[in-house]
Amino acid sequence: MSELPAALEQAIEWHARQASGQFTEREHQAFERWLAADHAHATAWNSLRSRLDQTFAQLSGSRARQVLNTGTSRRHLLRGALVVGGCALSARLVTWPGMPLDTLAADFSTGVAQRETLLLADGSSLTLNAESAVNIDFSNDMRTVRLLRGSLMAQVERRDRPFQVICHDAIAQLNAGHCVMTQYQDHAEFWLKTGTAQLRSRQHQVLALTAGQGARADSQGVHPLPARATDPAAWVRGLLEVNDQSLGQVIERLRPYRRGILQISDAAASLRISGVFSLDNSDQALAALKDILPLRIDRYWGLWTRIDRA
Amino acid sequence: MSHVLQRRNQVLNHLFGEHHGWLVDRLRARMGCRHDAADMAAETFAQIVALPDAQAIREPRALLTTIAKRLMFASWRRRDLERAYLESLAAEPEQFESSPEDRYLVMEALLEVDQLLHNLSSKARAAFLYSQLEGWTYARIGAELGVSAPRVHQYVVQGLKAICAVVR
Repeated sequence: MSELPAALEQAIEWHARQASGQFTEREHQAFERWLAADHAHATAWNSLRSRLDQTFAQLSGSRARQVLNTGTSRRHLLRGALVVGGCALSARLVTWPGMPLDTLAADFSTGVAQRETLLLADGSSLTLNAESAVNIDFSNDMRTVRLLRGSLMAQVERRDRPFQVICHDAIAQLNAGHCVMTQYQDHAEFWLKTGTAQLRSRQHQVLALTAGQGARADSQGVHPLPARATDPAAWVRGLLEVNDQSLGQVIERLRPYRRGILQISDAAASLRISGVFSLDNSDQALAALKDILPLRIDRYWGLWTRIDRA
Repeated sequence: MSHVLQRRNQVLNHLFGEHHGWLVDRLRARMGCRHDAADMAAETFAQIVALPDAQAIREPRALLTTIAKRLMFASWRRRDLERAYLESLAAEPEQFESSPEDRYLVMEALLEVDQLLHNLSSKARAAFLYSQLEGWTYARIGAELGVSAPRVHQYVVQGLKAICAVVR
């Protein structure tokens, strides 16, 4: 424990004596003399009292004492103890009274800084990133989700018919598993987290994927992507994980979370960066970027943000 | 780009690329939940980014493990205290009528005091809290904890020092 000023140590000693329940009149007089002896004593005494008042203002009695004497439980050391809480996603059930469970056609979209999880009638679920849109079409022989823009994460339950996720230039088909797809301006990225999948291009080129593999789909076809260190579904948790990417790419992924115009100069866009940033607090993310890179960030009228190299 | 910033960015790039996946895997094995593990890893890296001289790190995995363990322990402790507080409220239903803001303030105060006292032995901690929160005499505390009154006095002094030791 760090060294305290001598006057404060004495004040503490006096306070502890007063609290004993056996503070005599003689001791009280000695305390008064100590208090009057030096200006520093009175200051130390007052600061101790106000420190205690501040710290314990909200707490009193046996309830606070019992809570504070709670031991740290061993059960946490058991694997899996933390599954409770933290993992729950707020979700919307995509069904309504009288709706047939097998077939469904619906369109969903999310706005700026919005994410939504849809629980589908077959037990699968879809999570949409901000500024994303899908078209869901479940028929008797195929479950189809068309990604029109943005990103989705699909958790697919095994059923008697396959599940396909369609982007502009390719179709991913899986029976069961867990995948992420993002549609960019001129290409799409697909990552398979669990299960197996087949990716088919417009030219009917087929690429088989296993868990952990990713691919890019564009007008030229489908191509495997090198393994990546970051989680392509980090946005589900409101995070942006970046490993050695250009600032331009990072800003693109931040864009759906920001109202107004976000502009970046070419010089700034080419800077490389790694880190973890908050999507849900994009101001904080921009501030963090500025801490790491030589940037100048100007804001105008709260709607227009311009990023340049400092 | 300034040399210092450039160096710092290179170091962070390297740390992140080399160790992020490893840390998430380890935390996942320990915590059993992918989301919690990823959040904890993110928080750990956020603390590394905040270090003034990240380039001086020699054993990155040891440091990451230490920070992650500390964060994990703090979050467990928080959950234990929250559960104990809610259970104590549930035991007296009329207390639930206090507003959520009040309960939040109490919880924050409990966490702060818990943090301040974390270096004390369990007896010193109990003695200090009996004295401070319930106003028990040292004779009664001593009888409760099976120690002498002068020993209780020492415990209370330790508690007061711990409360004063951190500069606000």
